[in-house]
Amino acid sequence: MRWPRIARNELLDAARTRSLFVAAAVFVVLGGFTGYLGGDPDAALARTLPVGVLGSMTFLVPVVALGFSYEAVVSPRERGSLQFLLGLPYSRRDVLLGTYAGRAVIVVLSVLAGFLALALAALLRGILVSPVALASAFAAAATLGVAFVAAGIGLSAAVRSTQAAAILAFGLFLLLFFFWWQVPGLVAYVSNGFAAPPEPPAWAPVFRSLNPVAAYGVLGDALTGGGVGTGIVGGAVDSSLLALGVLAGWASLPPLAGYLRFRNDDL
Amino acid sequence: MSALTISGVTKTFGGVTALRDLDLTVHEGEVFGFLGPNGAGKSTAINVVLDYLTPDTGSVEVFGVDAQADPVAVRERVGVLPEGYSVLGELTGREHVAFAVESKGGSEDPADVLDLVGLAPVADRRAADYSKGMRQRLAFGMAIVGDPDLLVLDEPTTGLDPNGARFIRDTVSSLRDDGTAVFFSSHILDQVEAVADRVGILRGGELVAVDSIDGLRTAAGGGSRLEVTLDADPSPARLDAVRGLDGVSEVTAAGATVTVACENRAKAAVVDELRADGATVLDFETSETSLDELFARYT
Repeated sequence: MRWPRIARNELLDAARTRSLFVAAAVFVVLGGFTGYLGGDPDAALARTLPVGVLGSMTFLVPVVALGFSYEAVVSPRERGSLQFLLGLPYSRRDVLLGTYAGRAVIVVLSVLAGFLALALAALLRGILVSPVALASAFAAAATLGVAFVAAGIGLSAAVRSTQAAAILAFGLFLLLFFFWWQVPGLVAYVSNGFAAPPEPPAWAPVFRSLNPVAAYGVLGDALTGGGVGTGIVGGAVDSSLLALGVLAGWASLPPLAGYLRFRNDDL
Repeated sequence: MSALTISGVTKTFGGVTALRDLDLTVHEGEVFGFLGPNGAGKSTAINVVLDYLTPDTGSVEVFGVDAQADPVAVRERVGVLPEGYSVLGELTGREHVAFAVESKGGSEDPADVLDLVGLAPVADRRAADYSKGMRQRLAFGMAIVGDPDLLVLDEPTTGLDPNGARFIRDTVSSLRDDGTAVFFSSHILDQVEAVADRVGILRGGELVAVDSIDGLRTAAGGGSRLEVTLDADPSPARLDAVRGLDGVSEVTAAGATVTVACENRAKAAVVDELRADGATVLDFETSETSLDELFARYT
């Protein structure tokens, strides 16, 4: 196993440039506020407080995750650090795996800091949050983070310039957050000869379920018993298992696709 | 088995041919100088060897291992100083060397390597803040970690002061004496002349000559250049007589100084002929064809 050494360097770099601490601080502020101000203290709050923060993380986690990943492969490639690294006994797969793992750990640690801050802030006003609720909410947010790191790594490996990676990352964000829900209707409209179809296509809920943000909403709803995914889930199939599968797919398929382009490409 | 074999490698970039059917062999334990003007394709060839580029046709083997099929196995035996690289992120010089040691499974103490390449005083500074020459020393130090069987150096003396360049040449020589093969590209002739056992000259993506430096001199019709100063201007008839000697290719006179291009074996006859009508030789200088002239002739 050679790639963990590359992952370790990624972490070290993020600590030295302080980007890890900046990201962690953002989540600490969010978690701290939620923990200190969220809801009137009552018995239920110990369980609902940690999952209450999931809704506000819906945007933040993907933005941070893409920010930490979209240039992770292509920027060292443009600068020539990648060529330097590949002069040592590493394969391109090692580089991709190590970079992915390193950046994923950075994002997961930042998110973790947010949940720890939430628990501490809640404690300040005498609420001992439920460890189970805390752990499962953290797991949901971390999974969303890893899925978006994976998407960013995949596109970073597939392109030859940082500029292209930035454009693709922005486009991906817009697609997943704003345009994904329109796709089934649009396809049905076009295939119906540019006329409104009599009813929405049958595959629309399945397609919506493939969105990682929707999957995250479904997971959050399962944890809270509804409420998190309002406005996000948007008609996705309500199945935690499917949602987990979708997030696992996002965590693995984009890096794989990126690797297939990267492995024999001219550097 | 040869250290490096490049067989029929062609590489084009968007219709521009960078390498055309390149064949080249570096034997075990030899220093091979890879010469050519900028843009001749030297780095392209090296990047194919390192699997940074995939050739359109042809193949590369390093100690019998296909470089495109198993680049990691190749990198395990090769020390690399690439061209146009950047150092690794935020690591210090010491961390760079330590990373190279652990990556290659070497046994060196990073402090010794840094000492050897003269970076001990700046070992704990961020390598990205190093000067170009310091980065080059660092990269060279990392390349020789783990006792590689083949060193691939792409323009290793770029950015180095004369002491740094000499250090690299001396180190290359002593590694060669320990049995390491070295593939050393440069557009600067002196760098290659000083260390290379054999030289290949690349021009426009094609190898136009491969030989020892002496062999190249002979093949290029080089030989010697003789400068003789007499006590009086030689007569035109005398110069014609010199021109008529076997092995003499060119005779020019400026006052009492005669310059003769000839093969080595003709030197004595030239001097004898110039003295034949009683002239005295005041001064006498001989030089071999410079590599610069040789290079200019091939490229």
